[in-house]
Amino acid sequence: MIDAIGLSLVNAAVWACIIAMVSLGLTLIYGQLNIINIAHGAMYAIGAITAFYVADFLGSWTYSLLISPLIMAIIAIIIYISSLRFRIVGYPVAVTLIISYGLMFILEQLTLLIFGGAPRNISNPLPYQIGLFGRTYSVYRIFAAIFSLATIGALLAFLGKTKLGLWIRATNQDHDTASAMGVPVPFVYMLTYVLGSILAALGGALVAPMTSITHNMGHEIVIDAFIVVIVAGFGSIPGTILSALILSLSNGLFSVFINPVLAKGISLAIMVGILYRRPEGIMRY
Amino acid sequence: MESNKKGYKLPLLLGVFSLLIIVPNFLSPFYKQLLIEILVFGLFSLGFDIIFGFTGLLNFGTSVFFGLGGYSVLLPILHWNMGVWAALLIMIIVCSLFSLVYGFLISRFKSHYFVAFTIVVSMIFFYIAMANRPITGADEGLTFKVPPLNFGFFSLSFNNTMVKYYFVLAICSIVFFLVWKFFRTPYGKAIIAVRENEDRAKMLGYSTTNLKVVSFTLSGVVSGVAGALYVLHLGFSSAHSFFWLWTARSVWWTITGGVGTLIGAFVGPGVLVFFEDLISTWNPDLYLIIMGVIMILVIILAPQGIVGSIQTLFTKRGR
Amino acid sequence: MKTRYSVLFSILILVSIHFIPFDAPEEAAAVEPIRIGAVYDLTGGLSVYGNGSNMTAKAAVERINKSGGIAGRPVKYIVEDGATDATTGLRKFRKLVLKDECDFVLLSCNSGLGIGAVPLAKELETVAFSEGTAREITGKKGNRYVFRQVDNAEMAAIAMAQFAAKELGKNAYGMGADYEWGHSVVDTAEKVFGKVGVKMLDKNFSPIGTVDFVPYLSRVPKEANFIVAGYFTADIVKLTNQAWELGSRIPIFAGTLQSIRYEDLGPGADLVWCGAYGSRSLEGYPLDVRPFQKAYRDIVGLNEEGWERTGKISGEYIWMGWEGVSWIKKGVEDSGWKSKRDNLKFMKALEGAKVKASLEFPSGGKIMRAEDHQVIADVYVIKAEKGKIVTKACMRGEEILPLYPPNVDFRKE
Repeated sequence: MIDAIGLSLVNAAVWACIIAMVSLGLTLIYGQLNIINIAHGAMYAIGAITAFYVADFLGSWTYSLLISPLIMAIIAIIIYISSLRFRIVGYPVAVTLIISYGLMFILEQLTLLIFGGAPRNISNPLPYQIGLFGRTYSVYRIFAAIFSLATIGALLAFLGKTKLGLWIRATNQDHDTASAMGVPVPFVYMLTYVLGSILAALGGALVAPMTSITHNMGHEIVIDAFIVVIVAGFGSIPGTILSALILSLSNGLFSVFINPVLAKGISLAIMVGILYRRPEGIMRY
Repeated sequence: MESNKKGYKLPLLLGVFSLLIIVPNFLSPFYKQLLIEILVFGLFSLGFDIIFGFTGLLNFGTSVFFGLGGYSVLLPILHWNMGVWAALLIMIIVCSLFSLVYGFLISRFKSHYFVAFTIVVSMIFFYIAMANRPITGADEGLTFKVPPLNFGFFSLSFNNTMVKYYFVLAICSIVFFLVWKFFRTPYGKAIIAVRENEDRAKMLGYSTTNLKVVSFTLSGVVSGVAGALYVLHLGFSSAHSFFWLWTARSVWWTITGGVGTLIGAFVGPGVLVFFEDLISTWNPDLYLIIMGVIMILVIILAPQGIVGSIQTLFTKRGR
Repeated sequence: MKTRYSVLFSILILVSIHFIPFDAPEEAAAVEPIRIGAVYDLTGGLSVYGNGSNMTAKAAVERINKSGGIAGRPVKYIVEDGATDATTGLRKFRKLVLKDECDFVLLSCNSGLGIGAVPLAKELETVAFSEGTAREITGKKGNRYVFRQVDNAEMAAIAMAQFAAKELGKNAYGMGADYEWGHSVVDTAEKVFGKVGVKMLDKNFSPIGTVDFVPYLSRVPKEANFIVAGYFTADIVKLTNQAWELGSRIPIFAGTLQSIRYEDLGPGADLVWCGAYGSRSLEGYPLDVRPFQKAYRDIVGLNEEGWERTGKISGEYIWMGWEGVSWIKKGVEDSGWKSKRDNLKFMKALEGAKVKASLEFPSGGKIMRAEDHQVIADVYVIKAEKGKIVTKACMRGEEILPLYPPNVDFRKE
């Protein structure tokens, strides 16, 4: 019993880190731009698919940690320039939500046409297992969790300590004042969108060797990411991490004792309950 | 200006209505049932228009009502052998209660949390529906035999497409008429006031929360009825009716038709359903891409939709 | 400016409705063509099956038209996308019959569509062929209008049962995707394996789209000798890889390996078995079937390893499109069917029909059982082994027949 709980919690913690990173992308985009990025799942899929092609052509998955975000950045810039930037300021949230919806369809269908409907796999870049609680656990998963945490840390450092990060925070606080003080606000908007998308793509590239790669794998992560972000309170970074932990750990804990489907349902109910008590989010900042 | 508007609207509506009664008799069976679908989808979009177009609240989870309406009419017929009228009654009670409670719970939230909550709830409902195969049939769904429509001394079978059509037309017309009338009452206008400026409405003494709850309930019931009609039409439903694609459809149909115009809710599907079928037959690979592009173009270039643009055209000329 | 755009845009849309061909003018054909419609999943989760069947069905129609058509009439083939959604599929079914006036319809392997289509086929008085493998499509939920040109999941389980008892072990653990087909695989395995002394210790089902199988895999008891996995495409790949990483070294009997490559199964690939409706490799076919299978593969573009040209679709399942068309041809020609009024004659002609391995039926000889319109055909035990998917054994239809009695009789309708 202890064994089962231990294994489950470790696994849950791993996923919490990854979901936190992906959800942060969503939080960033919403907090800054007021865009509910429904296409986030599609971006996650693009990251994973790019990782597959990198592993296939260059022989090693590791390069994808650089190439996936790069490709995603290019795609995000194109998307942003051609549609979203026209409706950022002064429009109701419905507008960018619908644009995002349309984008999701387009991206998903394009990935189907390019990648095909068959699932593919990337061979484990770290094919080692360690003994854990009576079974073995993949070392790669632990690496993925650590990498996610590192990325989150890097993101926080970027936001807190660099000039671009300062611009982002300033614009987030008050875009008029920031603009008046010389911050290139339109550029910051685009930068934030690209940053958020990159986090999704990185998540996809990271998860790719752990699971299979399909054109519609975005659906798997988007529900969790949304719930995490919403319960976290739009735009709250610490809230997002806490929220991801609660969702993932409660799910992991319950699924030891009851049917995992039911466990997921209960952890979702817990999240809804939290949201109801604190609609502005778990943390007030 | 007011009387001018009433002047052209009513005869236009009556004209369209008479066309809808007469013309389908001359259409091929395929177009008959396509019209049925358009009417049902129009009703579904009407529900969305009520909460979004008239109340200014973005409910991004209309599929909850669509699916709920469908199942609350299917399950009584399937398991308790009820007739259509009885099942419809149950459906209305279920949807009303549900929307009332749901609306009450979320109406106190400000706009962004409202949207967020509706998204989360719809995802959860989809998950619940998929996870409960014995009740909902999950992905592959449940088929059932639709009993004939019982009027006392005679009954009409739904196997006859024209019976189905007139039934759907009757219900859609009645609901449309009721909603149309509702927004002309002082209470309905108060709801519109909430859309315009909620704080001001509050200062004028309106209980905006109550108004929002009422609007939400109305929206839920209307979309629920649409869901029920669709299930009666197909003789089938699956957990997929809770999928967010249905929400997306209600949104893009309403927006293309014209938000806040009531008729727009029917014009939207009227135009797009043809398009969707045409494109998905011509090139199924490009279908979703094209719909995505249309969605984006419409919301950026023509957010008033078809009816909205025509209305603007008229008002400009009227001046 | 914006208003101008809006108005222009709306007028554009309204005007373009004018160009929709409300009733496409009929090409003046000297002989009235036979219209075969197909609802295949060209997009969505089952797209590898749908695109494959579409490819072979189209090829079959082309070949038939080159040699004079069916009963001297040309064949028109119209395909619609079911999008892996039963509701969409049903809408398309209606469209094919009501708008395109199809005489026969082929349905995809989506079991939800198959089940929903059964009453619709009767309502529209159109004979349909379903590739969905949930048992009840030719069982309690079926009717006389629907035929199935492939063995169902229960029959595959029967074929595997003997094999499982001998090669895999006595204790099984069932896992599956939580929908009709997933349950079919696991529940029928439990029932059928039980008869040969294999016990299913426990089972659990996961929602479609589960990413992480660790919570499910960590429930597999140590005494289990093998896992029965009612999953398809992406989930199988996830399962085999994650099972290995969790330390599981027992065989996995998969519900299907369609379009899955050996490499993608991960380090534990050699543990994977499957009961398939066709052999992926050409050499896996028995000698009496092989020459026809080769001729068929040459026509549709499958190589000897069982992959089509783009390398995205594998061949075990997609022959159903080709053979669906062949059954229609056989039924029409054997019964003298001229129009839908002759549907009953068509049904009777196929009920009990026996066919041999031929170019029309390249996956082998089979019987179309009269009572439940279920084909009784060969099942192949395939396994991932040393870089390939090889065929280990073949259970012939005749052996399966006595073990799978019908539970309905449509001839009474």
